[in-house]
Amino acid sequence: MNFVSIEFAVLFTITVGLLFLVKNPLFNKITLLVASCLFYAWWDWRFLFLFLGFTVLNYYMAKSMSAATDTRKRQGWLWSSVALNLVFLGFFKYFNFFVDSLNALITPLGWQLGTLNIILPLGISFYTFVTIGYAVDIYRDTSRPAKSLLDYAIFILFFPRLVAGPIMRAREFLPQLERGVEINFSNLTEGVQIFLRGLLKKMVIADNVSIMVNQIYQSPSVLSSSTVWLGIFAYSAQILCDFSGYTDMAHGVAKILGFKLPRNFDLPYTSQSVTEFWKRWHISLSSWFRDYVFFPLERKRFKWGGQSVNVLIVFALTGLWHGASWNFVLWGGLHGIYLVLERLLLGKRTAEGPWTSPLTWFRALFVFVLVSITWVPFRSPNWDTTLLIFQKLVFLPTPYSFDWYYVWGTLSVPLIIFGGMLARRFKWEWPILAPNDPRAPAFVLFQALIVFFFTPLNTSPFIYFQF
Amino acid sequence: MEEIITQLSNFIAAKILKQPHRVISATEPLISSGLIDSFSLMDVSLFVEDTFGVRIEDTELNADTFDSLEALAKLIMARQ
Repeated sequence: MNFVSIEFAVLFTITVGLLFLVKNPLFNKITLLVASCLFYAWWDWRFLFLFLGFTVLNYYMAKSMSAATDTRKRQGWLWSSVALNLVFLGFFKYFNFFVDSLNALITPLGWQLGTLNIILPLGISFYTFVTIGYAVDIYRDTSRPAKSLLDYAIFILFFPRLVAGPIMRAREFLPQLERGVEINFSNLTEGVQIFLRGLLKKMVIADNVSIMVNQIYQSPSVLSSSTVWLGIFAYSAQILCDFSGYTDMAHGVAKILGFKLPRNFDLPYTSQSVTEFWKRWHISLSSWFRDYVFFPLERKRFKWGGQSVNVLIVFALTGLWHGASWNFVLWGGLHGIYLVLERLLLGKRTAEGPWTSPLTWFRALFVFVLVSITWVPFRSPNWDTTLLIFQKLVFLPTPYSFDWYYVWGTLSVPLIIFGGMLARRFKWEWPILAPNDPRAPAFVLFQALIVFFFTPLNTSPFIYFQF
Repeated sequence: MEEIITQLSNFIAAKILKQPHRVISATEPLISSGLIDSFSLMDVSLFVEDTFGVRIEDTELNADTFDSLEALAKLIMARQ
């Protein structure tokens, strides 16, 4: 179910109405779980039962681990839970990828393995990372176990962030669930404004820019290098507005219910280093990999290469998490290479400079170009397109031309880049007005009208729904 | 505690910041200021383990657990 749909509006209105009218904590929890189940089942009810089944398994495994006093038993439960979730994710998402990759190696020998017709469950990557994180946190005693299967199921399946995050930790969510839903005028007005902000980013900016980006990625060979460069910068704007727009909508929906989700984006294209970029982009994912993969790997550093090898491993896995394709591994690998080179060549000169300095602006622009280049394999439908676009980017002889009719793309790039930098320089924030602010209704109406008039006829699905 | 702070300061200045002559005050924010990032936190943790025999768990590698040399030194002394 999409946030921007009639069916979601109906489901959410009924859910909020029930939660507001009935002040029974147990009823409210059941309502949240039922709403989450309906939200997911709208896509495919069969996979709802799959998710529910794994949720029950994960809960009882974590509960058994929590109850065990023997360290080896706790470790046994932990590894069983992690393995279960990785097998779940691995089968649905990576089985055919690994078979195809293996076939590329063994086909010259006359062998071939068959692939399966597998449907990728919506949100599986986010689901498994939340469940694995919960199991590890219980093992490490950094989170208290959920008080009941109901609480755990709501935590895992909470519909505002079920499909595309943010990836939440139990210690962030369970105390809020214990406190209960808080539906009041303040949360409603704030939540609606945050939701509208996301809607504007997604429908007005991302979806309009996607029209141009799709054309460029469909036929890069017929376009000039300068247009292709514009296209990759425009995709940077598109993916930020698409994903952070979705996140804002998730935040807004959760806020209306009285829940606070963790921040996932913090002006990432104002980063002065790739290191800083990963503190500002998809924060919940990067912190997950840091806490559950990078730090444990660092305890067992390789003698040769040390931290650099671990960085490359983590970012290759980050790429693979996004999609079962070597394009995504390349995307992650490029970021890993950037980070390793940054640390080797720049050391602590990656520290942030003041925004009053022109050098800071130049550094941020440079990092934006580096990051934009990595989006090429991320966006490309296949390896050939990736290579073709990279060839175009280094200006093979093509007549200079600029396709000015790509208005949205042309405007979006300076808007996103310099808008963000100005926000850092002058500490601007997107206004979220208080409920009693007399300007609030007009501001909400203004944003709604912008969305209404500037949304293209054909909108795109959220990019991160495919992960 | 002064001795511990001095050793930590020298290590961070020389090995993390690559500025051997840099003086880090006992109360200067380390993690929240970005002086030490995620990549360097494990280096600090391993140095503490090797030098003082005190283990800092992965879950403690954040500004909430220690954000200054003074706080880190207190943590080390409490666990020795």
